[in-house]
Amino acid sequence: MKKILAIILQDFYRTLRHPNRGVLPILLYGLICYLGVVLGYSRLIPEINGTETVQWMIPNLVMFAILLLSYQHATWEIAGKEQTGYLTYLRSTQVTPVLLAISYVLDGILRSLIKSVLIVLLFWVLWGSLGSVRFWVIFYGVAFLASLFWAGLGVSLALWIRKSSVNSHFFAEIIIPVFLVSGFLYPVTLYPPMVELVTYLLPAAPAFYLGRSVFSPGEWNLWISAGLIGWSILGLVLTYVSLKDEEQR
Amino acid sequence: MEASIALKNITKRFGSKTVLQQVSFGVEKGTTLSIVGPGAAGKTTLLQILTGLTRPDDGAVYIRGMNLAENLRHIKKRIGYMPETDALNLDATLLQNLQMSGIFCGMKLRDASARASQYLEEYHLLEYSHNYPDEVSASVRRRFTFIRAILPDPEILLLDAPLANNDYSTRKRIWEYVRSGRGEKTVVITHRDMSEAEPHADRIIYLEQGKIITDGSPAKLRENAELTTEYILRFRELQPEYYEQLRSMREVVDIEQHELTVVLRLKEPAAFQRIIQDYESVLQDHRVHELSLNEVLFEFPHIQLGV
Repeated sequence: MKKILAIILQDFYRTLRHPNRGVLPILLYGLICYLGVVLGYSRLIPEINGTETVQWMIPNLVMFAILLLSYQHATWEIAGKEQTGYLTYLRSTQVTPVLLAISYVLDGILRSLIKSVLIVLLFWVLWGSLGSVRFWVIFYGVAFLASLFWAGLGVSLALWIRKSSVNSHFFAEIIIPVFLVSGFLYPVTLYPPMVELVTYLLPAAPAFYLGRSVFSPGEWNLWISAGLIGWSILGLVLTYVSLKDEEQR
Repeated sequence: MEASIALKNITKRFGSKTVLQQVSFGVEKGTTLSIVGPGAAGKTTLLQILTGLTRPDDGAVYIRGMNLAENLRHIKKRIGYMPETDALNLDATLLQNLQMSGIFCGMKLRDASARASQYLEEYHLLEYSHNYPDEVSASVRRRFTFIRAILPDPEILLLDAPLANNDYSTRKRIWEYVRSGRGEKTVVITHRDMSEAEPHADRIIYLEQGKIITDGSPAKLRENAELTTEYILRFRELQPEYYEQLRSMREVVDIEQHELTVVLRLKEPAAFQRIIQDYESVLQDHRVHELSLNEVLFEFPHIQLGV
């Protein structure tokens, strides 16, 4: 636990203290970006009523941000540490691949969760109310579980595909389309039945479905919940295997 | 003496390239071994195998009699490793890098901080402790990397090119640390050339293209080294027949000509006096040059060292 905390806090420290990358510039930059997204979102859909906004648009946007940022943060962190040789150094210490996997996955997820709170707060300011705090706590629980896969995928890809250009292609040509057809823009129920079935097999679909169902009581689905847990476990396994694979080199 | 490290028939391949070929040697407890070799000789890979970072394709490593592959976690507690690159966490200050590495090596934060402060003072680095790695010079980073390796007071210290990028006083301090641990700590250091290893190491292994070319104490290597003396003749005027006459002499095993200078390597040193007397009238001057081990290994690879 001490070692995991050390890895995570060490990475957070500079974010909080460094004059160029400190907490204030990051918050300001983040606020401006998210404000742009939120305002754009609300202007594009002026006709939408409050209930639909709360039940569909906002959870989707927040979930999208959390999953994508988890993937990106984990990829950047591990790629950066690998490039400087720090990851190799860590492996020479008593830090095991399991500890490394947990630390970097948690690091990526925590960063994304913290940033996504900004979006929620901005929506809260704009709309006045976004459902109860209890709903959001459950929503963040779902988001955390879903992020385990995406952060794990980020760590594994950064270790397996060491060329950043290849990683960028993967991000643009596979990950973004997967998000778009997984119920981020439209409910997957609008697709033809066969396509709908396939979309449930995509790793982002359970997260969007369950994230929304927090705000629509009665829509919870046991199979989709099991799918979400399955993807989460797969994310952790991927991370562990890629770090173990690094040890076998 | 007790063997601290033993490598048996280590072979490592990266794809079709064989980086280490059947490398075997042992290191006695409390001694300093220098592994010398040109770039891409396999030195870093060898050290990475000793730290458990890379697994050999064939062969086994034993640390204090324990198989490294089977007791990796336990053995890591005894090893301090300084990689060839600084490998510092750019997101943490230099002091935090030391503190965290103490934690990663099983120390308590309080102990790691206290020992880090002690070393930082000793190595005149206190003023940099709150800087980030990318805010200081390469030399300062290298010193921090060395301190990070010795922080947990390891029993076995593996230093990959620790002297590169370091100034004279730091190099001196590193050797002082190594000397102070003699008899207790086993140290393996890699170098690109022999000049630093020759005066300080208890034993030197010369590695080339993944193979051990020679292995022994500096004194033993020098003793075994054949033809490490150059006999240099500078002629006023060098006639082709002089060169031919010298070349055909029984005692001359090697001859090189550079304009009016002829460099000889002789089987019998006594023959040099005779040569001087024979060519006295046409010689401008003459001298004897003792080659260092560095020159023997890197400048005259065709001159073989006895093992």
